[in-house]
Amino acid sequence: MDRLRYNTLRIGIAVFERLRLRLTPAGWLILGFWLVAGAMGIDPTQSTAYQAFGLLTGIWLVSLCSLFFFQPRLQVSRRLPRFASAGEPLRYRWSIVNEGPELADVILRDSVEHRVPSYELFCAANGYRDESRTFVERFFGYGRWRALIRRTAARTEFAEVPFAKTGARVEAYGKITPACRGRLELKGALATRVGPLGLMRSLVMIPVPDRVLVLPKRYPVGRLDMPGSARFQPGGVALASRIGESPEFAGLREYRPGDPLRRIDWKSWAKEGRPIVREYHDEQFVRHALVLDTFVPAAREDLFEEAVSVASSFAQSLLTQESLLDLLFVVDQAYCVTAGRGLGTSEQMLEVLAGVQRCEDQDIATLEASVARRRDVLTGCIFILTAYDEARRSLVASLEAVGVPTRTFVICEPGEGDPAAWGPSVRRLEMGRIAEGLAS
Amino acid sequence: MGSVCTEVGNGTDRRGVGFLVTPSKLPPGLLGSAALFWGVEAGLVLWAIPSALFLEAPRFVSKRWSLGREDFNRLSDLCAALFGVMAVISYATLEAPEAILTIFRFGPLTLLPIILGQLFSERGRVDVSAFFLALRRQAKSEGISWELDLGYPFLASLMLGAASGNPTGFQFYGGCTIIVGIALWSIRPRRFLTFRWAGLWLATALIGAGVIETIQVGRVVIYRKLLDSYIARIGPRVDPTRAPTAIGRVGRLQQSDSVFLRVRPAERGGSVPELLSDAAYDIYRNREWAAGRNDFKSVLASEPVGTWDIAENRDEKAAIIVSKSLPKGRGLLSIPYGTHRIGGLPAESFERSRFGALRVNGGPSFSEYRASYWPDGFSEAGPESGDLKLAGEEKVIRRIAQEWGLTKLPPGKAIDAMLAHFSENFHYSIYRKEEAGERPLEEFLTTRRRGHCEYFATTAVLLMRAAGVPARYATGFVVREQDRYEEGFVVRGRHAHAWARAYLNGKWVTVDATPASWWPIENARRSGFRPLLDIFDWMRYRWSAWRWRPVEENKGIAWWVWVLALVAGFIIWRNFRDWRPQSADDSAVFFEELRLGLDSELLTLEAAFAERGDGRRLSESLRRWCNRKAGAAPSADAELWRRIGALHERHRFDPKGLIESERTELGRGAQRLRPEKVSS
Repeated sequence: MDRLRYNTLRIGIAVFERLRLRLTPAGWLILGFWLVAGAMGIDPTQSTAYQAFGLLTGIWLVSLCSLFFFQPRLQVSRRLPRFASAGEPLRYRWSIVNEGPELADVILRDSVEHRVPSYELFCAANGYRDESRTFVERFFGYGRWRALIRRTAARTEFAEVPFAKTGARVEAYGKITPACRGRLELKGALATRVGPLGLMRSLVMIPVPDRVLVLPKRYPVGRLDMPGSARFQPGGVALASRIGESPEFAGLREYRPGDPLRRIDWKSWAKEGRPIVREYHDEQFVRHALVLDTFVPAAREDLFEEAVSVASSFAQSLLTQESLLDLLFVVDQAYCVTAGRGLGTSEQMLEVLAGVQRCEDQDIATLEASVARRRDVLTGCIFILTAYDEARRSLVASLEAVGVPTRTFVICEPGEGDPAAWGPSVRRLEMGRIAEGLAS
Repeated sequence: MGSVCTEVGNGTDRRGVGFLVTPSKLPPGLLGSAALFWGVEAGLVLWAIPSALFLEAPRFVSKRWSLGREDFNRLSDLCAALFGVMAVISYATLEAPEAILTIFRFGPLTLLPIILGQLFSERGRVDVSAFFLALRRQAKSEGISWELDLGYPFLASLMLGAASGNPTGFQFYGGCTIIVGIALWSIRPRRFLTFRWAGLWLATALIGAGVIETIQVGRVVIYRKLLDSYIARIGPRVDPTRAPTAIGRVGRLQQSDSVFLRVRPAERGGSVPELLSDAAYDIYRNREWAAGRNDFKSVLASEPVGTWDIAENRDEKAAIIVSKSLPKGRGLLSIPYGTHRIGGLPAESFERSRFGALRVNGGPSFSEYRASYWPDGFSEAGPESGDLKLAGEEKVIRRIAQEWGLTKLPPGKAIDAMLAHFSENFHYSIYRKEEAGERPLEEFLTTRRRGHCEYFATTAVLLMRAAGVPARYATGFVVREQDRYEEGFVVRGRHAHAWARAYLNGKWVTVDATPASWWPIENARRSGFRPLLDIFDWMRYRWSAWRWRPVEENKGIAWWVWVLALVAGFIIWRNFRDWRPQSADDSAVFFEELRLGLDSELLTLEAAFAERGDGRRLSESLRRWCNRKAGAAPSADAELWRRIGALHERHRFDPKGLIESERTELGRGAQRLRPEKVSS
């Protein structure tokens, strides 16, 4: 039954979307008028509705013929920013050069690739994410479909193109509101123009491929007091991002027993006649870890998206010139992305978060090992978890046992979990109330 | 154009205070003209004139009301109640096609309340949620709205209402072309100048006229083909004056499986005759049977209503109930031989032919009539010269009669001998699409010796005439199949039959020369879907029987219709008894000093949230911030957030400000929503 629902919705909505592009609001009204007049006019001896049907059929024929008269020749380009944010409108400029006849009453609209939900996702959303308002919507699964589409579809708005003579260059302003993070592929510009009777639109697709990286949605984060001081970071900032020693040169001194032979400065020895070693500065600064839980089943994709949003919110607010932030997560393997103090910017970290996926073939032990490798240098750790089971408790406890202060945020459904049993350092963020939870 | 009220709930301010809201985008006078056109075409001029005046009044009258979502919900409920009552009354008192047209005819009247509400409202638009309960709930909880101008849809309803009347003439087309043309002109793209657009519209109207012509021509062709197919399906036996027997025709007989009649005994335990007759014929010519003298005489109505006495002084010996559709309330009745009375069939006129056929005019489209009959009786007039005439293939008929010895036997024995010959030497076959020869009867009697019932009936009649027995050709149905869903029998198109009537010993008797094998052969052609289709036939029968159940004259409209109307009236009264729409201040206000409203508690509340990092964004208005907070708040607080956002905005920007209770509500609401202080 679900397969039938899915196919019906997929085909029906595709047809409806095509009609919606073609027909103006007046066109929809005339379509309804035409169908009703046709039904009423089946028996011409009973009423004159068949005459209305004839007139409206003539209207449709003229409207259909007029579609072919719109053949613009346009050179179109966009001026897009590099990044956008999920849920935030992205405004940009169109630049249009008219190489054809005079251009009037033309509207441009971006064409984005429509992500149709997969059948598996549609089934998984059953009883879980459903925006049905009526029994009919629930029966046909339209509420689920709408919830899935709303999470992934980018909303585009049309841009009115000013009147342009042949050869003129004009500008228009477009707006897209991406719904989710990731790479937003723009296929081209759809130039539309309403026909003479105001019922149908001519559509011409102008290929202008482009792409924008959509950063995750961020929430305002309240003050997060992380106890703990700066810790000794062997190798300093440089070593924080590289393998091997590369400390900052401080000066020369006499060799003392125990100094590593590789630090002997041979030129100075030759000059002075006694062993001289190079001395380096080691630094102390704040270093936090931001641990993202990617071990989420496919059916809880929205939990994972919120976890990424929360991680992004922290990444944006915690990064300063004075501290380092290590983002730790596991996809196909363990990853660590470091930013701060000139090593990287919050934008770069957000770029990474824009593309992070769920982990499907590893377990939490991989993440635990990655965290354990860094516990000696961490000032504090923030965990963004999607559940608080034994494995995750153990992960948090492993850091607390070595004295690393932690703050844990567990994202869950309303009513799920028992915060009283979790401890004071664990905060519950309910789906639908994330902002409130983070702000408090 | 005057000020435009933008969407509710998005925090946008109203601009252009001091101008009247334009009632609709439609050109001036168009709605009123369309209403008058509707009145003329639909025959409702007395309704149309005041309607037109009210529809155009907003252009001249400055009075407006502040109608919000709740007000439009009431108006929509009123329209729904009016429409519902009208629909039920129409469908309960009229035939289905006429009822539907009546609904369209009066439809604009039922929509008047809400369209007038829009035209006289301050906003000039109607929220779509007023028409759908599910959207009302969503609009209330999420605060979204989608407003539209009802002017154009109402114009379409006026055109449909006008289309429901006056089927003759082309004045409707002319009026519709002008009105729809003006409506579309008002929304044309600006690049089209009026003159050029008018030329295009003229071409469109001409194309439309061409389409109408094509529809009419095509309809005649299709109707003729459908009629031929229909007649062929149920058998060519509906016209009492002419009944082509399909001998020599190509592919006419396609028996239908649909249920044509239902027959049951009038009394429990009674019997049902095996044959029901439609008509009889006496002249055979050019492969067709016809009635020589078409002399239908009127039968006077009797008591009670719907009773027709065909013969005098006949006590009822037996009776059956026949359920039959009568398209447009006229047609032949299928009756048993010996019928002397018909009951339960109110009609304008009732006629009887000398062959016993009964024809009704102005009756219901579906009837369950009672046929009282005398078994073994007959109701035809006595034999005349035409009942002995031979024609067409006379020579071969006489030769066969001679060969079979029919001419030498007494009438009764001659009939028996003829039947014996048919039974022993002839076979039944379903008629196929093939061209019968020039002399079909000769072919049938001498060479082929197989055919369908009309061959047997025709040759039997002619052979009996050759033997000196007056005979006629009769058509009708055989009643044998039990009804699976009702008590009694079903008669399908496939059960249509032809037989001979012979005048013997002073009375007309049935002579069926078709071999008995015809029944199982015809029934073997039943479609595999028949059991499923029978269910639909039965449901249709049940609906028709209830729909056309007899109603006594002096009762008029059923009692339940009045109860329904009273209930609807009560609901409307309850919905509107405490309705006091707020009058809008439409006096011109220029440069009135606006109150600042900077003492609003919402500003303090926002500051408290800003300290916690959850304040208003730079690009965000306070109203939008409240809506955002509402989205993230529990449902109990969500409504409060939206409410204080709306109140603050009015306090800040509305020249009339808030009333005292609203000012208090704003303060208390903000206090309630203050965030808790959390110790660090």
